[in-house]
Amino acid sequence: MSWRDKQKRGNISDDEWKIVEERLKTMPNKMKLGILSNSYTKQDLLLEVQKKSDVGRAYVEMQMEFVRWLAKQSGVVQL
Amino acid sequence: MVSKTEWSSSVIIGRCSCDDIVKYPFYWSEEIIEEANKIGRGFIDLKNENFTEQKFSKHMAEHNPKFVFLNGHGNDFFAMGFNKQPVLIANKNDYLLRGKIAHIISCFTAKFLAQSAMDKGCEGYMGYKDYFYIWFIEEDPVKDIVAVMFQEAVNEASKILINGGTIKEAFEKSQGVYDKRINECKGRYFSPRTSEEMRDNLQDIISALIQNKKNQIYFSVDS
Repeated sequence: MSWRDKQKRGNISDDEWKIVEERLKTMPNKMKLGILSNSYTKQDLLLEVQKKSDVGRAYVEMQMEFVRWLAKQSGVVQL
Repeated sequence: MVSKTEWSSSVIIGRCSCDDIVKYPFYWSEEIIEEANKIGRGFIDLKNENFTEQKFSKHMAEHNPKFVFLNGHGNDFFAMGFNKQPVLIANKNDYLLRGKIAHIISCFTAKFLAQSAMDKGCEGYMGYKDYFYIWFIEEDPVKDIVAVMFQEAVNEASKILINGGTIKEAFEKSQGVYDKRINECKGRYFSPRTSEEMRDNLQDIISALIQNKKNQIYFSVDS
């Protein structure tokens, strides 16, 4: 990914990558995510997160969005 | 031969079933075709090997449809058709959207392609400025109870448009469907009867719905 793309999407911290990786390790692989040209099971997404690929990044961003949403539901100050 | 005037309120639909992902919006389009038939709106169904730049350009020129609904992969600069070949390309054939209403289901095309098309006189454009996600649990889209949540948000917009609604109305309705589905999943997520496994799956579904809702944008000459 070029520096321009990284700037547009913002940086994902090492801790955020680790959090999502740990969560994925416990998941069964029933659902698939369709993104870009491929479909990914949870196991596939774990590999993408570990590789820090575009798909892995997209998945981490998705999970971070969920965390923000969840915080809102709980009335916690938005992250 | 049908006159150009008669077709000028019609819909052109581009779709292909050439991979695991695009077969979902391919199937979702059946509902829109049914709706077009119900209200007597003509449509041109460019599917699979017919969903190419050449055939798209030809039918746009011949039939002058009002609505352009394309489903497939995409990037900032073009919407793709059969075998991921570019079909609608910024600064090449996006002038074909002059005076049209476009609803394009793909990743990224609402970022640059949309603005390029609006600059060329497109009347309204709705799509996604970043990734477009679908979670699915079945091989057959017909049976998929997870993917139907994504289908509903997409198709609600298309149905509003071909029934004469504005792009803004279609966008707001679609956003409302995303909210409805997010809230539905939220109810299950927080239920004490939901298993941990299911809660984790719901987290993924909710986050994809949130992202799709966030990435959905529209442009209109009226706003």
